Amino acid sequence: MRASAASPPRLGFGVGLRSIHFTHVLEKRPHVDFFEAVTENFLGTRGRPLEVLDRVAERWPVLLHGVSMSIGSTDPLDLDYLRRVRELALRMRSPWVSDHVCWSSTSGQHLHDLLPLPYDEPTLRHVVDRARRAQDVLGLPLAFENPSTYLAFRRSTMPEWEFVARLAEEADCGLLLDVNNVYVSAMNHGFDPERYVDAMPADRVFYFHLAGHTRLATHILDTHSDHVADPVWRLYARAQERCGGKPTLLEWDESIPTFPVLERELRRAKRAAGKGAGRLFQGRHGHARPAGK
Amino acid sequence: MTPDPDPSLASLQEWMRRRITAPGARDRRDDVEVAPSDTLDPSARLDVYAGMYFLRLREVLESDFGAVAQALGHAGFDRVVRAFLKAHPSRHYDLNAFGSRLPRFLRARSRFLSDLARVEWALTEVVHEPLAPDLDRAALAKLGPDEWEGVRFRFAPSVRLLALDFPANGYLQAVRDGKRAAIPRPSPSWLAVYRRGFLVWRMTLSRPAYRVLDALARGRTLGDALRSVVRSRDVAPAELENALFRWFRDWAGEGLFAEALPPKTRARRRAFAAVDGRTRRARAEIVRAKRFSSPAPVAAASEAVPAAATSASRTTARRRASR
Repeated sequence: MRASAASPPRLGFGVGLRSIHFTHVLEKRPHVDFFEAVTENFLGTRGRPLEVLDRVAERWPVLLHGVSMSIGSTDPLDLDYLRRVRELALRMRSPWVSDHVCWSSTSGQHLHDLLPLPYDEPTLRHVVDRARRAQDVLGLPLAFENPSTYLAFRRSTMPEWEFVARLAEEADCGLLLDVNNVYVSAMNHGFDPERYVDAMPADRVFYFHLAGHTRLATHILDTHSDHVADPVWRLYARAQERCGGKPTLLEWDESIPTFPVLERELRRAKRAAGKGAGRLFQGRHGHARPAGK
Repeated sequence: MTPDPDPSLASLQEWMRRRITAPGARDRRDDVEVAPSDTLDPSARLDVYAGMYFLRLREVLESDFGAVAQALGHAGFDRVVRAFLKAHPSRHYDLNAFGSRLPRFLRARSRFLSDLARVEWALTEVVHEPLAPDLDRAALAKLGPDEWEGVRFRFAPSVRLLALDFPANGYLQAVRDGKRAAIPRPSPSWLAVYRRGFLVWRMTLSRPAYRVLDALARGRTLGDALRSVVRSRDVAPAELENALFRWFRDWAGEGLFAEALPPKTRARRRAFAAVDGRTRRARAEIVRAKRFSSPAPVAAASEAVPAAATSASRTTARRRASR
């Protein structure tokens, strides 16, 4: 299914499911609207992680977010991987799956990183073609996230926002706009983050990611190890206003705090979303269930 | 039709792969391909990715092999990780499987570390194996005295049996208790690693207990397993008799067995009949297809036979599920 044929559910405000919180989530049933699971953590297991995710999916909507589709790679598309993702997505009733505008493997080697692409026409054609084929195999809408990047290629001929927006339109897929990544890349490359957000096709944006970063002397790293930074909150408010109220997912992957800290951060996201937040709970899709049900 | 990949992009990715996986591999192409930022030159920007590549995979291995990392110390573990990455670069998207070769890799360096890594890897493996229903003890109780000798046991998938040259489990426990532990001297030890619910357990075994379990896990009958222990003279027959009840009570109680398979039971006959029935049906399809000279059903039916025959066999990111 292509993104233009999908009606993305208005999921509300969720957090990334991490194993450190498994017990808390199952026992305390926290007040979050949905969870997002890192796809690859659940593809090769028939054990405890999958048992937990099944139980979470009984109670909350679960979105699958991958890191290994390697949509920009010049290796062949991994069809076995895509079929496994589809199987898991159907099991979790995930309304779409997401991954990144990047490459992460080549010559059969997995580098386990979200590596940057040159933003030029040949690369765009290559990625659009693969995205369309991946979406066909998945049979589900696919949303691509803008990555944080630390280098830019001299051969790039267009800004990242143009590449990402054209990818969404030409591959007929969705976007997962990571507002923190926009900010990190903007600082690392010296572009205006607001210009990036303003260039996003609002109807293609399925949801937002928020996370913290780490500022070093020479660059910013996307570490997901802290609270969302103030400039990112301001950018997020602008993105919500521009896109008309989209679901939002908080990621925290290092120095992970207790769950109540995440809940407080989500409450701040609701406040920052402002008027847009009110539209997040209208017209729920069939997949979505109320929080805490 | 799938277009050929852009050769220029393929070359760029292959160069970048080599550049970020080989430490200190700065080259002239850095400046050709990468633009500088206000604060970093092209090589420094590539080094950000090179540094993250190593640190990410080091972190994965440290999370699976924390006691090995502690035994080696920070610099020693760094060296092992670098050598391991060179020998076994990741070929799979699933980071949970990345450390599977480390125990064997360590064997050439240290038999103790290899044993310790085997224990830690078993802990990871059983987390990702499904649980099995508890053994049906009522069915077991109905066995006649003459049937016990021929009983076989199907183990729960989330069980691993280890025979070790070193007391690696004791070392692991000391590390987890936050105690300073010296590298132990060689001394054989035996261990069962298994999962009950969400928790993973380690059960130390005596040599004869391990022999019995190992023989059963290999599909031998209980009679054969016990005879191998008696032949080994690890335990006197009278002691074995006393120990057996306790062992089986513990093993069954801990969920090591998924099923007891008495010789020629109805259940086994049913299983055989089911496979046999599928085979017969598939053969009938083939015959029917041949009769009507239609190639499609032949292919479908031919595929159905191995699929049915193997249906009972087990199959097993940056951010990963932890133990």
